Amino acid sequence: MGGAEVEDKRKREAAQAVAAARKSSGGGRRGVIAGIVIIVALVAVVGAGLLLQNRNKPGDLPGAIPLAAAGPQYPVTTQGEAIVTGNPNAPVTIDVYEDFLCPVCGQFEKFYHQRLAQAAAEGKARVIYHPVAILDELSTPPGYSTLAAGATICAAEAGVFPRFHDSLFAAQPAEGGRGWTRAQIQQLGRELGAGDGFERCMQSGADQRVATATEAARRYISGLRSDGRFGTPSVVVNGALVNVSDPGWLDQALLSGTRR
Amino acid sequence: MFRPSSATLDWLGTVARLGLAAVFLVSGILKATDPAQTRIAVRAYELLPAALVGPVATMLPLAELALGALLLVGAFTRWVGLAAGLLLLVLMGGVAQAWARGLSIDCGCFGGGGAVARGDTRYPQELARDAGMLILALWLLVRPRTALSLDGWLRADPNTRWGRFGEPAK
Repeated sequence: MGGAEVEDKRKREAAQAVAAARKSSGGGRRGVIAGIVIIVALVAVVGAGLLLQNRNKPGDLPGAIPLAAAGPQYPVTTQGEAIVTGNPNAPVTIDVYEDFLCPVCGQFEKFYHQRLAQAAAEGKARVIYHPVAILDELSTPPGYSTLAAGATICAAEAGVFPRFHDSLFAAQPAEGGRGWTRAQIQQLGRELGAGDGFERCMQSGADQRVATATEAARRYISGLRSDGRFGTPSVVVNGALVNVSDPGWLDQALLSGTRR
Repeated sequence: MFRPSSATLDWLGTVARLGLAAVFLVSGILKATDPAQTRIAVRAYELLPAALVGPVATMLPLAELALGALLLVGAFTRWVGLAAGLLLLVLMGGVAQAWARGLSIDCGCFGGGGAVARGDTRYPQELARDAGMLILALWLLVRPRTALSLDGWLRADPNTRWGRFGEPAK
């Protein structure tokens, strides 16, 4: 036997051993096991994620929207989607742009609504409310901002604006959570004495009106701001944007009316 | 010069892989636990049209969990490293643009998120943390071979149980 032949035989034996080992440990079987491991790991982890996401979806807000107390009486008219309150010829015009889901708007209402209503009732100011919807995707399901804004425009047309608006803000849903439902909002209108026209108004194009009003507000407010952005609440006094985190803004606004 | 052995590098890769897996799994779980807050966080970047905020907020935690699971078992490590790196670049881009535009938000990387007070932003820290994770992801992209991985087990010569890491069964 020559050396080359021995070499050859060794190689053959080694190859056979490898093939046998591969067979016994199952090259293909490892692939199957790995596939199963991957699928199990993915299903377990992603499934757990899906489960968590669905379990933590908020439930409906219970019961009816609590009625806010009646405040000072003031005249209310509507101009398109804007709700004009107070004396139409007052020396001061205060435009309030708010989204019914926006927490800062809720704060603003808590601090200033009473005084704005007072100013409107006493004829010191013309306070114009502009319900807008910029936080639609932050309720579960999305769309509470538009629903509430549209309903408020309809409530104004039905003659029940003040307490309707106040009730929605007093019982403001949490951002990210479940909003009041259409049925609960319609119930609020009925309780305040809105007629059939209110529900018809909500059904027929209210969403579109809110979208139009929001776009107009976005153009207007972003043009007044140096950074060109639009947020709520935005308050405009006689055409000038004011900083409502300055606690004196309302006094100054009302003062500007008496000085004239 | 000191040259770490291949086995040492494999184990370092395992540390990178499991570290990255842990971060993705934790952040994915925290986001999935509070879907409403995750939507607020995604929206706060002011990058996406309203219609996309919801889907992205739903998918992001699931993607993180999937990446975490694959990293944990060590499957498709190079591709998962690439995907993780790209995801991190996107997230860092989001934080960087928020910083550059002067938004004051929390990144919402581990739950939470949304607007914060002007002085309470932590952009440098958030970016540094993401950069650290990006390095781990790049390691796996460049050198995907790690110890104790499904990849290694599959690739291994059937004669040796854990490829290079156990004692070769000679």
